[in-house]
This record gives sequence, C-alpha cells and structure tokens, in this order.
Amino acid sequence: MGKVENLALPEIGSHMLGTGKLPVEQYVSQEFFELEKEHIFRKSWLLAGRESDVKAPGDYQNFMVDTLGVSVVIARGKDQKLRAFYNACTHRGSRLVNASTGNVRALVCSFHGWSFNLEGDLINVPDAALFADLDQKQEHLKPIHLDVWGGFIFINLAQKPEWTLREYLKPLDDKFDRYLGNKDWSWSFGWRAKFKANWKLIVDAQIEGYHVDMTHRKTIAGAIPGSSTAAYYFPESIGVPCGVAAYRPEDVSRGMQTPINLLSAKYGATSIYTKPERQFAAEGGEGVLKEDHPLWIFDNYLVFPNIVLFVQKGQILIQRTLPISADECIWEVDFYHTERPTSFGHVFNMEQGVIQIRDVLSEDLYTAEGIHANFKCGAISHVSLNKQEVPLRAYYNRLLSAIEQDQAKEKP
Amino acid sequence: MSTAANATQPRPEISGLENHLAAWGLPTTEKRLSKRLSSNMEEVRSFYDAMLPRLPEFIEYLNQFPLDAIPKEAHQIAWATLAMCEVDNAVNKWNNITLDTGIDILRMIPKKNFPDRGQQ
Ligand code: FES
Ligand SMILES: [Fe+2]
Repeated sequence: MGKVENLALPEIGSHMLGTGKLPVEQYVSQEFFELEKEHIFRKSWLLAGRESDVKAPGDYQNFMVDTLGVSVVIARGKDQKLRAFYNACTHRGSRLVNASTGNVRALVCSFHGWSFNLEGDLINVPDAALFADLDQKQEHLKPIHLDVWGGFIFINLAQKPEWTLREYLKPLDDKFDRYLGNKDWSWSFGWRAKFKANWKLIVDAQIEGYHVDMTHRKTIAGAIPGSSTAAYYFPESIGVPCGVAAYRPEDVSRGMQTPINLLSAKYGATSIYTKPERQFAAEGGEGVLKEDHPLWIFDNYLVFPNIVLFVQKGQILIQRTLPISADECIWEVDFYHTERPTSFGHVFNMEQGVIQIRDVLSEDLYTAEGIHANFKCGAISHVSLNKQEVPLRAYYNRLLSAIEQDQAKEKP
Repeated sequence: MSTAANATQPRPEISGLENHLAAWGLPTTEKRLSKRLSSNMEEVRSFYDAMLPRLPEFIEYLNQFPLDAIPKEAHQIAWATLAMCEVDNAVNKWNNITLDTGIDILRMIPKKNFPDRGQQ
C-alpha cells in the first residue's frame, strides 16, 4: 500500500499538443469514414476476445467488424493453437458459424456440408466426385493474423500487418502483458447498446476527466473529482496514444457515500467509487498499478482505434466501440475480475458495484447522440479542448497520422 | 463460513416485512430493475426504509452459507437485500425513480459473455 505522505497528484494535463480548435468532419464525413474503414479498421490490431474464454480445443468465438461486413472465427485447434479465419466457407461463401461462441469438432457449413478442421483445412466434401477438379488443399479457410497480449486476443485484417502487436502496444510493455495476462482474470458482467453516433464520440467520452464533476453530478461526483484525473499522452506510440489516471480525493468523505455503499464496502472492492474496506486480490501488478500512491484508483488507456482499457487492481473494464456506419455504432463494456464471489456479502458488494457502474456509464453515454446530430447538421464545426482534454488531441493526431502513413505506403 | 447444517445464526425474524419481501425479492438484477421502474417513489422509499435497519443482520445471516447452499426459504430475503442496491440511488441521490441525466437504462442490454452480440 501507499505512502500516506505522498499525496501529490500528477499535472492534470498539457498544452504540448497545441491549443487550437479541432474540426469535426472526421465524425460525420462519409468520405472520412471510408478512409477509416480502409486505413484504420483493415490495418490496425483490433481487440477481439479473451484467450481464457477460448480455452479448450474446439472452442470458438465469433468477432464482427460490422462496417466491413467481416465476420471472424477465432478457434482453438487440437494443437492448442489459436487461429483466426474469415467466417466464410470456401465452397460458395456461406457463413460457417452463427452463434457468438461455442465448441465444435469441426466447422461444418450448413449450406452443403463442407467441413473444415480447426486448423482451417477442408476435411470433408459430401459427394466430392461431383466436382470436376477440386483440389481440397487449395480450399483452406482464409486466415487472419492473430496475436495475444495480456491474455487479450487481437486480430489484424491486413495482408501483412505493419507492426507486431507488441510494437503496436508500446508503451504498454511486458509488465502489462504479465499482469493482464494473469490466468485468474475471468469475465464477470457487461452490457452492449447501439448508438446513433459516430463510434469515436463514445471513445472521447471516456478519455478525459474534465466531464466528471458535471456529467456524473447525480452519481459519483466528488468520489473521483475531475481535478484528480490526470491526462497524459504518448506521441511516439502507434497503438496507445493517450490515457487518464484517476485518483480518489484526499478527503475520503467527499462524494456521497450512502448507507448501501458503506455496507457493501465491508464485503468487497467491486465498486470503484467506494473506498473499500477490503482490497481486490491481484498478483503481479508491479509497474502497472500505481500502488505507491495511496489515492490511485485506475488508469485508462486508449488502445487505438476503438478500445478504452481501464486497469485497476483486480478489475479490468474494457469499453469497445465498433462502427456500423459513420452515424451509428455498437458499444460494449465488459468487466474481468481476479475474484469470484464466494459469500453472499461479496455478491451484495458485486451487485452494488455493477449497478453503480451501470448508472455511471448511462451518464457517459448520454451526450454522444446529441453531439453527433449537432456536428452533422453543421451547428458545430469546431470544438475547443483544454489541457485536461489533451487525450482527444492525441487521439485525433493518431487518427490522421494512421491514415496518412497507410496512404503513403500504398503510393508507388 | 459454515454449512447449512451447522448454521449458527437462525433465520431473521421477518414479520412486518412480508409484503416488501414478496414485492422486491425477485431473482435477477433485470427483474429488480423493472420493479423499480414500475414503482413510484413512495413505494420505493417505504421498501428502503423498512429494509435498511435489517440489512446488516440479513447479510450476516446469509453470509454463513456457502453460496450454493443458501436455503430456499432464505432466497427471498437474499434477493430483496440485493434489491436495496437497485433503489439506493433513487432514494439517496435522485429523489426520483430514474436518472434523468443518463440514457434510458433499458438500452443497455446485459451481456452473457465477452463475444455476446445477441442474435447476429
Ligand atoms: S457454401 Fe459451404 S458447403 Fe456450400
Ligand atoms: Fe465518465
């Protein structure tokens, strides 16, 4: 635990990336969205799953990149290896799996019954003699690049990814890989929803602390004061442009602690907004968790382009946002914990945490659709950002540079 | 922690609470949420006020069982206890059934696992 004498917080943000207004076309322009599809979603490492959720040979998950129409099957082979394929039968293109998760001995197409093993080889063709010159070896499922970091499965749709996943995720280094890859993390709960808003607006809402006092005035305001959320950025990073670190107020009585909060805090640490009497269990966080600061709660990192990864002791929150179109997106949040409740008191604590976080997220999601409409109708053409909102500048810069670099590469 | 067989604390006295336990002792978070959404503040508050003083005792009682061995006749108490988490903000922060500074909470669909997208 922390040294109580050291309560100084990091600088709240920076003007180092500039002070000018930013345009808003990148949220509403169809042309820009086409560039994102081509140069971002087809070229970036995309978080697609969690390794421990695809544990046994034959386990699979389906991952959709909706706007590209791409459906990915991620499957564990008999050799224990994880592979990703297009969810596309090489006979006449039917989808192979429709469920989001399952376990199979082989991937059998329900159109005409071609079947593929978990390594992607075509292993059976009903009435194969009906084909004139079918070379079964050529009919392998189309593979997709896959790698694992911190126990998370990432895929990359590029023919040849520009960076390894490890290069992509710098400055989140091996220490993070080890901590987040801890085998004991397990999925606890999550939600999804659709929004009539550009996918990046939902990301923006989670990468600055300026909104906290106002947006969350009816839930957690005070428990994490806006002034205790320090922004930072990594200009050299390919896939992690920025982050925010959140601290509790020095005066722990700040924020409204209801009798239910206080009671639940006796039995667990699930709610990030209540000072728990018990701490989460989580080993190996050295260098990841800022535990030498007594008030530190969590860091959240933008994993470009669409993930906000909240890292806390014993709790990970992942927000994913995937576009359906320039004007619509799917939002998902998932929680992983190192502990499963073993007593009713812990269940009570968990329920309190789930409901608090649910309500807080409903506030975070409240503004995106209105903002999108205001950008789209032209009421707003530029936005102002203060130094605490510097992650939005870092995100914008990365968005443009990722597109430009990829375009430059394509030019002869 | 002990088993049901050697539970030391007897089941708490619930007389006077029966109606509240029947109304709010619902088995899932979703059912308890819709119960809140279909109640008025008077109902929510009267449930909260009746339950609050009993809550520590209920939790301690339930705590003595392994999770999968909570006796059937105590399930309603357990679920009504969890329902207190659902009404907490309405009573203590909003003085209102719903949070009017958030999206409609029913738009957030609970997931079953990480890849869950509902019907594809
Ligand atoms: S399309 Fe799959 S077997 Fe025909
Ligand atoms: Fe927020």
